[in-house]
Amino acid sequence: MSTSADIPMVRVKDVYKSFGDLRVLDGISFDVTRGEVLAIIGPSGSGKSTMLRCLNFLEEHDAGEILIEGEPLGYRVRADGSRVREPEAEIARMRSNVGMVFQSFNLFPHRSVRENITMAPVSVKHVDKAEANARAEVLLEKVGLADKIDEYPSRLSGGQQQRVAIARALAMEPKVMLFDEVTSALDPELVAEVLTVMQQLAEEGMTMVIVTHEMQFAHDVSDRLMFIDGGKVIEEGNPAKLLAKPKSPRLKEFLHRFRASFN
Amino acid sequence: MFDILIANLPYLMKGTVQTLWLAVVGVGLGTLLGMGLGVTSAMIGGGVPALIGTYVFIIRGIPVLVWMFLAYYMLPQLGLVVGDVTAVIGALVLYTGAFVTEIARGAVMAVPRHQTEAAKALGMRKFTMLRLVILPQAVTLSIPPLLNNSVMMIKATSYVSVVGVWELTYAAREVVERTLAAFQIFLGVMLIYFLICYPLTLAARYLEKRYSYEH
Repeated sequence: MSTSADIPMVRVKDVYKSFGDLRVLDGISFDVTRGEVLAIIGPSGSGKSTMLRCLNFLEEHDAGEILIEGEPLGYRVRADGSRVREPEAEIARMRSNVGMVFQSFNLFPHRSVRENITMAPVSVKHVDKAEANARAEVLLEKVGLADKIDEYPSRLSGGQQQRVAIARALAMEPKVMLFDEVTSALDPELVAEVLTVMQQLAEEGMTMVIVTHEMQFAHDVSDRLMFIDGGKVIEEGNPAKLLAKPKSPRLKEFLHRFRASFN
Repeated sequence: MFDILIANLPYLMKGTVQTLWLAVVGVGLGTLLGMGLGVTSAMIGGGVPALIGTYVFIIRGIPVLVWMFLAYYMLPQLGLVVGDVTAVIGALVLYTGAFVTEIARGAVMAVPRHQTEAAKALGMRKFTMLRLVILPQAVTLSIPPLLNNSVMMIKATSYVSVVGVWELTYAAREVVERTLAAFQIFLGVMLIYFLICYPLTLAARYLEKRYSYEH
């Protein structure tokens, strides 16, 4: 008997994914345990974003298996190795457990901040409207935007929009949160406010998978750092160690080039 | 100077009522049909979009006047005995529907992919996503072309007179044949069509403002 505490929150088992002839994920495997913050770094085109998008089935893996808290995502693998696509309702249910924050915020422009946050809980989880509203207020307080509740997204700065997007994802009470280069589209002075919210979430014990270019942030906040290239995990481990003493030539080169860009 | 027009105005107004009726039924039903087909075509896969595309292609490729004749003369040949009004309304509905299908499909496709991804990531199923995220944004995008199309089709109702269906243009021709006052009668008719279509243009502008939001 395994208890739920033994089951990894996310398990990626030998996942492959190609876009046409281009193989983006090449037999990648890793686990994310409950409460863990995993940061994924890698050069552009390394497959890190695709990997993240596979974790809520926005990209469909070609082979292998992805499990969220032990439940298969998107495809169920039969005993004989063949796979069956899950019905749409099941995919949607699985996705509602996985929060995602995008690089380009993707707030709903035709709805106020409040409605952006309450829309999914009310329509997907059938949460009572008043309750969803109360929760939206709490979440906005948490991301420091309580006064913006009735604004429309277009009236907010990038950093504010991204914090609303985080609140929107949290409103579904996900088991794991995915962050896809969430500060890349922000002006430099707005990056910190978003990272602060993420750090707070990490401290609260949220399971997080973060694809990022913010090396310092990855170093400070993540429990584990994973360097991927060519659709494979090249090196992973303690962030401080990994960044200080990379073993693989590819990570060395990546970090070298990364640091050089600051000189 | 306009005494003949004024004397015949009640008769022309009767024709106007008939024109409005044709417009409301033909353009209204056609718009509903097109919205349904357009959204369906944009949302589902398989052979359905191709089928809908064929309908659009065939209807749009032939002038509405020819469709009036076809509806009027062809249906009885096929053993379908329908009234002449029903036949031309059918033609108007199908014709409007074809254009609206493309407008609706285009509007749905124009909603950024990021929006559907965000909705999916929140666990929304297709219908919920359509209702809460895609359609509200698509409606905003489609108001101007839809109203424009309605104005076009209201004017196209004048074609029904060629197969003997009575409405404003037909009534005007009757009056002209009787009075020979073509200039003032058609001036009046022009004004009446303008008075029907202009408020729609204003409504389009109002709705566009009312439902617009900054991106």
